[in-house]
Amino acid sequence: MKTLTRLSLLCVIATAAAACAAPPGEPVQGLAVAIKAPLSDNPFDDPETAFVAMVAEGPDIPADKLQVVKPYSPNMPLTLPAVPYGYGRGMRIELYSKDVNGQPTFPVRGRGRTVPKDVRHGETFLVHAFVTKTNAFSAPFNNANQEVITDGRVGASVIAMNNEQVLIAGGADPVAGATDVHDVKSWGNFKTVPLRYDIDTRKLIDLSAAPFSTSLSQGRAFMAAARGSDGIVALTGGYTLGASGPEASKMVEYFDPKDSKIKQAVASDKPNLQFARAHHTVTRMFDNNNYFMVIGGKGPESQASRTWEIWHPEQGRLAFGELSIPRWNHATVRLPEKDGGYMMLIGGENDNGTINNFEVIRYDGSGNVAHKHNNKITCCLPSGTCASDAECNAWKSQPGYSEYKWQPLLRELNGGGRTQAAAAYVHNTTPRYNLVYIVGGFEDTQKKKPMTRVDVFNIETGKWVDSVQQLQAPRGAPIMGWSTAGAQRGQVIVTGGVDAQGKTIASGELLSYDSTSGKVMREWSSNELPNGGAVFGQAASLSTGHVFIAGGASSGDSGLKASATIRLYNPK
Amino acid sequence: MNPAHSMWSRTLAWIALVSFAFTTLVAPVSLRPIGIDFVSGQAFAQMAGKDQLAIIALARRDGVGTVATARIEEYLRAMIEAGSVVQLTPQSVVKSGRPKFVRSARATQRSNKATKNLAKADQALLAARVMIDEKKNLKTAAKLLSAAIKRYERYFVELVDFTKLVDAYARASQAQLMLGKRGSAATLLTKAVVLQPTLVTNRGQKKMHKLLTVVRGRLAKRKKGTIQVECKTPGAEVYVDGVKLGSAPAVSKDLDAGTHYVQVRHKEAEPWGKSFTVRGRRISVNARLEMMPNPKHNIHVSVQLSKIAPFAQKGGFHTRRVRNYSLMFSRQIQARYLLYAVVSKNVRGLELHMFLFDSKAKKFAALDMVPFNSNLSNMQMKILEAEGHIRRAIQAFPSKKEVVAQPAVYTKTRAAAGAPAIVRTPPPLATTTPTTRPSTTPPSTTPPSTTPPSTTAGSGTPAKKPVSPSVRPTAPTYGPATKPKTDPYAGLLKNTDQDKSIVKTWWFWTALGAVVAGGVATAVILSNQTPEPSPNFKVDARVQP
Repeated sequence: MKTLTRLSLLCVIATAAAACAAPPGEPVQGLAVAIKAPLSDNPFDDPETAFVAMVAEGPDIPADKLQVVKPYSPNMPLTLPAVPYGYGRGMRIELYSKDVNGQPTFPVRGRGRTVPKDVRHGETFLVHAFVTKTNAFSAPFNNANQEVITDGRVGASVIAMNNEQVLIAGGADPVAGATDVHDVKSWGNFKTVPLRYDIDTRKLIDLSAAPFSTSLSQGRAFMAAARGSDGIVALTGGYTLGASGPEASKMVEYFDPKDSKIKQAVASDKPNLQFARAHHTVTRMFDNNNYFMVIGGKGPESQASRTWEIWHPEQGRLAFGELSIPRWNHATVRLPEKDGGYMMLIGGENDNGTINNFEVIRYDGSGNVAHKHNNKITCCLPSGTCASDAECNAWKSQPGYSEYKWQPLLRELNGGGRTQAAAAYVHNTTPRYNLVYIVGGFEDTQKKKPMTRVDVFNIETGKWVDSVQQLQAPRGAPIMGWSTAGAQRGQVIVTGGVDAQGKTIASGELLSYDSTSGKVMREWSSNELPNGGAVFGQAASLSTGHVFIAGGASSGDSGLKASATIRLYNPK
Repeated sequence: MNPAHSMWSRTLAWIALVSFAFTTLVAPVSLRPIGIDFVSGQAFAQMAGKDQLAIIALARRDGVGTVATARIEEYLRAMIEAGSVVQLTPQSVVKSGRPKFVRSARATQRSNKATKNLAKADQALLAARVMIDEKKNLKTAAKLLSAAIKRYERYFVELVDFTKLVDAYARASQAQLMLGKRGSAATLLTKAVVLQPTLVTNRGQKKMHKLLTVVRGRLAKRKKGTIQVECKTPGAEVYVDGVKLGSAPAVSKDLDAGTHYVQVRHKEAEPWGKSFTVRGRRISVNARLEMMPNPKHNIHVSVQLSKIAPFAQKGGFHTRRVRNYSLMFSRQIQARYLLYAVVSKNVRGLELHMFLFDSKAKKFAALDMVPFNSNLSNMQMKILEAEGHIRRAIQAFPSKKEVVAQPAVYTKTRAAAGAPAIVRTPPPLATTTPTTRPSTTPPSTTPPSTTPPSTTAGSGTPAKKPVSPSVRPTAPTYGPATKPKTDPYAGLLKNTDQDKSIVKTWWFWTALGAVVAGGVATAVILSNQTPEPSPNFKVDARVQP
């Protein structure tokens, strides 16, 4: 009886616990996915397409764990009944053909992703997956009426924002009869109207129209643009139309995605750059801040090419200082570092010819920039005054000065000097690599010797990656972008550019790094592009894995022509 | 005791018991979603060239039900198949003991030879490049390049990146030019341009650049040709000079006069290749692929599944015999890994013990035990955990958990069944392998006893049932499995009354009444309760291209 009493007590507790802990309910709909495709080159119309797969993706969801694969039929439904709530939830849609046994087989014929969403209890999102053919350029719309950007966008800034929308700002049209892509006078009709592309809805929106009604203060092209940590896009310098033709600009404006407006650093008395600059670069400096470093470039004042400036959307121009050597038409990539502030300046040109080195400079967060200068480390105060070693030592006693132990890096480029090369920091975690791709460019400042070189620098080992790979064709000023999603992450697409005669190259090629062999390989090349070749266009990497390519001009027998189409490249 | 109090206690106890049973055993199974649709992950893994893993058998011990075992096995298979680390060997292959597709030994040998030669060619090319860039040892560089070219040309069927061959031609041409042999340089450069019309040279080398212009001019005067490739095998892919043209039939037009290389590949066939000299005409070629043989009738099955499946029931993974049989079977079905597993039971629920055999390492690894609720209500999460253990073991094989003694799960159950556990004092560390085989004590045939178990390790645990004489004595073990453990069943033997029929007891009928009342009460509670939100959400999609 004693035992029974104990048991009864235990069971009372158990019953109470069981009654309180109700069983989980049925999963409710968290994502409703509308699967779309372009009207032309629709991968669903491909007779080889036999299966559709939907795979859940997220930072904590193992790859290909949650998936459903079904034979394809029009308007078919797909359901994943239980995907864990969490951050960055997205769906990957893939199309497969069938093998001799009727099973899905590689290669993937079409792929699309939804924009990742943070899905919490009680929330339902309608998202779109835009499925386009793999290893192909597709129109980014499923509406034939929106195939074309209504005006030319040569030298436009094309930047993917945090909200997975793409900003297309500025740009120019070729002047009638112009034939020389390297002559700034070939461009006119500089644009003020910004455009915004939304991959989720596949719409291109004119931001100058209501309800946004925003524009650049002055028409500009060949600006340098970079995205800030909170999604703003800084649009710096570039060319604008002056009294005697295109001239470099000091103007800095930024696009604020919160209200979709173009703004200036109005709270500051120094909203613009100190020096007018074109052919320069701008780079965000830290992971969690909106400090931008504007580097080099060319302008009416000679200081532009040998100085850097720091700009902030609220504080305007903060500081400027000297570079080790003047540079323009160089490339700059931001390197990872927990303290931030590392930037690699690659090649470029100055009055002495093309530059045959890259230089890593660092902003230490206290207003000091260190760089290599005649084998000596110099430093600059927030006022922009730079100094020699001796003066730096003297400044050590001043408040705010911080000792920096970092040794700057200056390295000779493989293959000699190059200007107007394309460069990108391409990185991955599994397999791990941190690479800087430097592709194409010109050997000479006259832009008559385009290069086929593909040089890849491993920033972890500090060595050049061994590669026997060259570009299929010599490309000056190529357009380069890389895929940032899924298994295709790290594939680099190189298109367009110009040859020795200044003619645009109508081909594209895909490069990738094989971590096993440690070499860069060409995965694919094509002699035909749907929008022809282009130069001075730009590419932006989308979270859907696509590379968005817009703007630029093509050169033909009848002169220069603005490339009016935009394309999505879907990697292999 | 107060009779009213006693009555109240009894009623409350049984209501509670039934409610508890209902909410924890029945409801979760029926309400929780399974949630994963595993389809054709195998096809993906196969294409990715993953190692194969065969699940040999899921044995069960300690009275574990067949349904529970089958469910665990079904989900484990699905989870491994959906995973990306290994490819799950089809059950038909495991049962028959015959692999689905086997590359012939001759083809494998041929492929290995080609791979080695191409690797040597790569090395020669890289070494020669350095010499040429440094303008040193040009004759050696020319010889290296000549050897590399011969290898590339001879084994081009397996060559994927034809830019290597083009680079070798171009570099060899450059070396010949630097050695003053313009004729040879032109010939080699022509071969390079024929393969890659867009070839460019470093503009710093003016002689080379000039030669390239001359070669291009010569080629432009010659008539271009066409190669048409046909293949009856569906899914065959055609490559000309390393450039993929697509599925056969395919045509490559405007080819410069010279040697061109045609490759046809299919995932279930040996690669096919042939070189052609194009001289301004159309060449038609019909590729006949040698399919990998289906060895249904060719493979001699020396080890049947029935021979090795009992190992999952008996253990013995530390013995050479089990390792040898496993090795033979894994080679026979061409699976790198074999997975033996056993489902056992303890007081808390079920346990899945897995033992993974790696045929390369020729070793067994014991994976971490995966506990399940007795009603398998947490099966989905636990199978994920099990798949994780398998994945990690494969990635880190051989692990520290190599099986060196009979696993505890086998010794434990035997002890619970009545055999006195023979746990010998481990020898000193210096003599991990005993030089003399320790004698084993025959199993005790002591009848069932209700005596409370002794707490002394190794003195034997009172058993519920008599031990069958056929049970062999436990082998002495010195690994982790030999650690003395308290018998998890010991507590259950308390107050066991085996002589009284259950239906004759007063409390049985009280319990039955309480079950009904409790079930109704719980159902009412549950029906009025808002279910806890599911940790998962559902995704619905519709194709609207």
